[in-house]
Amino acid sequence: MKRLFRNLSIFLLPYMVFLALPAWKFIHGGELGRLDHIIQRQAEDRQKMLLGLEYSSPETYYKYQMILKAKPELLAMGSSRILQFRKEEFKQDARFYNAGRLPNSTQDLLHVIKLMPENIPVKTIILSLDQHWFNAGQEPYPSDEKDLLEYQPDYSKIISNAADVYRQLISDYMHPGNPCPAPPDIVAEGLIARRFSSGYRNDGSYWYGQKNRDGDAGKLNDGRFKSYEENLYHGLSPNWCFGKTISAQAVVDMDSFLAVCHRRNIDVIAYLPPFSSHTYNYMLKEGRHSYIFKVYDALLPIFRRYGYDLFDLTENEKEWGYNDEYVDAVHGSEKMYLKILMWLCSHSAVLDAYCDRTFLQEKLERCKSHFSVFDE
Amino acid sequence: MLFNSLEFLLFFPAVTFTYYALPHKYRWALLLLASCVFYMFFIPRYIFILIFTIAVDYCAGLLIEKAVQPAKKKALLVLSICANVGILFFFKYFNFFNQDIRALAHFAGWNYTLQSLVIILPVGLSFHTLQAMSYTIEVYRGNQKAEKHLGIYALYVMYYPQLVAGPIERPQNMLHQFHKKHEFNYSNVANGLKLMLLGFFKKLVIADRLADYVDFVYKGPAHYHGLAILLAVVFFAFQIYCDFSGYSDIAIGASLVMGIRLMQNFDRPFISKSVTEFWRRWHISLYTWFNDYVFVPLVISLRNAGKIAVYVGLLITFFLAGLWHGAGWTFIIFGLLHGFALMYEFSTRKIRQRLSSSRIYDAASIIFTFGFACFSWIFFRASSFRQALVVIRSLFSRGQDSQDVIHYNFGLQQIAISTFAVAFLLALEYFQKNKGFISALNSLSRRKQWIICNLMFASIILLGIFAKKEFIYFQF
Repeated sequence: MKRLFRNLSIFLLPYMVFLALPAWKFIHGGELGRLDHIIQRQAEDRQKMLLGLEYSSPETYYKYQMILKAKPELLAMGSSRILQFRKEEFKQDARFYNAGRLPNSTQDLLHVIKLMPENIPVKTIILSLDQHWFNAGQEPYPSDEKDLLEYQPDYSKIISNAADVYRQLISDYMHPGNPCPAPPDIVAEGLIARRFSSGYRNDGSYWYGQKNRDGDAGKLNDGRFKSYEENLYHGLSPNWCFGKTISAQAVVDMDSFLAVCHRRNIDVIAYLPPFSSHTYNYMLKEGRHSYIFKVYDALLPIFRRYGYDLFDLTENEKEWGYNDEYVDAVHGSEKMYLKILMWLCSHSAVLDAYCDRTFLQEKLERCKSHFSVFDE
Repeated sequence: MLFNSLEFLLFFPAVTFTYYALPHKYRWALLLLASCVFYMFFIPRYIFILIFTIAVDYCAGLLIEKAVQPAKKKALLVLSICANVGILFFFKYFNFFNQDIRALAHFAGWNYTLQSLVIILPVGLSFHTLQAMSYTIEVYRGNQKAEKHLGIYALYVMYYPQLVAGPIERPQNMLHQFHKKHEFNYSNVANGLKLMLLGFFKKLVIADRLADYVDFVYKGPAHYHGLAILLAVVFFAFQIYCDFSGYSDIAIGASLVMGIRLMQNFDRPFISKSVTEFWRRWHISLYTWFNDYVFVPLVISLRNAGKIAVYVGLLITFFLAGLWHGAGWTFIIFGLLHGFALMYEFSTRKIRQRLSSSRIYDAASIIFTFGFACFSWIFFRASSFRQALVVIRSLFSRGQDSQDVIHYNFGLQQIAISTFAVAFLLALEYFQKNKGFISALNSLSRRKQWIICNLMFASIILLGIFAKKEFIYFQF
């Protein structure tokens, strides 16, 4: 037995040493095990916080638990393409929370609305319906109610990303300007938040970080923009598989979702989010993502039946197709989404009641950046 | 509980340490408790299925041995087999047959209202059912004395290293080992850990890496052509081999650490020169089970038909083997393809024996056998017969997408890693020859052993995929 322990220890020691630093970075950096504590602090909103996890994606659990804590009246929900709506854009007395990236499919939407307790005083939902949710040619993301209620940190990430931690250390040493930590008045949890000041604010909206203030990203020769487009064009992005028809199940799910909202007297203002004009024009021409152009017609009848608004914002080159205001092919900046919000307010009396359009217009006019409107 | 999980990393040393700390007379209880915990990590209430089959087969074994009249022995055997097969049929095959009958009824214009059941297949059901049946059959044949200790018998069925995906053991090999006292043996522990290391290397570095590409292509095979599909087909061959043999290595290694030896389940199947040889090297425990309990009895009962008996035996055996893998026509086709291949080889064995003295013929045979296995696995992997046809059609079509999906989805780096890892594994298998991995490794100098083990462990740490993907054979 002693020989076994001795040999095992000698064998494993170098690996333990190798893993010690990543383990420390993960635990100290907030990547593992403190999520409930972070949720509590963000819900209290006494201090600016950012949650940006690099190696985990607990958004389903995180956002749902934040809804339960924040008890919003005005809720933004949808994929990542709604994350730029922030509380500064609404009147102070509107309890707003951005639950973007909580649902990854129409099934998820249904789980959320059915599970949400009656004591959550949501009166209005701004809903961003990602077009790929309705692609019959794409397998929907697996959806389980349990993901809203349970979250287990995955400690194996320490091992699987250990090499990456060392690569980052070397890269940060060789390019000192690269990491762009958040300002000192913001508490950053998670390695992405600490390194790049990217993460979820207390109101659930997403900040792309200090580096994106000037709108360098979004130009067509930007690496992130280009690589997203390439994957999309080749049908290789997990979200943007080719497809020509609308998923009947997804439409049924939407109907069920709206029925529950209607029963609970929740107003719904929904929109199909835009693409950058470069991407949109390409997809229109090549035709392999033709389902995108059929989503509005498939959904409009059911929205009308419940008296809800649905807007097709997929393309509007003049208003929000401007490529430089995009982070990548499908994600617009805060500035772009403010324009969208103002447009929605002008077409929806329900949403207009939550906003001061004069104030928003002034902010927009004074904004010099392609990206940010409100300072951090 | 998955082998590739943090829970198992804690479970295994705790059980092993306690096993050696306990006096021998309590060890069976510890292993049985550990096996229950291991099994209940999946769906806890399904333990009652195991309890039921254990109770039925334990009693059947005792009564068969006690019975004097052959007719009574046979009746008890049939009862035991029906109980086991009945449970397997209910959980695994009911919906499959129900759907087909409904389709037939619809075609014939009959009124058929029986609905499909919403049930989850208990993990490992196909495996422990065969293992339990082999016990009662061996007792009936007089090759095995009935086990009087209920706990030991229960452990034979539920032994956690091989409970979920084999190897499918025989009572002659297992039961006496549970009675025997196993002292702590450094060699066994070291060899067992080395084998587990090999298993984790195969699973985490090779199988789960290849799975990403294979899963992506099989989600929409109509979009891809030629090389992209060919890569998916070949990758799947290595994925399923590394996944399943990796599981077997971990199971055999974990058991060896406690001094209990399980049977070998794989023996370098990709050097097979024929499909017949392939089945002597691939999933050996399944093949020998079907050979001993289906093929041989069938051939004996039909012996008056001469060669026809062999052909019929092969067809039925591999039909059942295909069906055992899954309740679906694709699995049946998979089985039948191998059945027909074996029939062909049986009928041409004399010609092939004459040719096999040529090295070129041997090399061509290896390539052809590998190609055949890959082709049959298209049906195994596809979600439906239609999808399998799409894959086959796309394999022979041309398109620009091939390079795109390789470059953008998988990347040349991933291909390089996968290729290197597979090459490393094949090199290991080549150098081990027919000695087995452990014997071959132990025949090297300590330095070389440390280098190889460190190469594998470092690969796991740096290149392992830790996304907790289930082993493929868990679905069976």
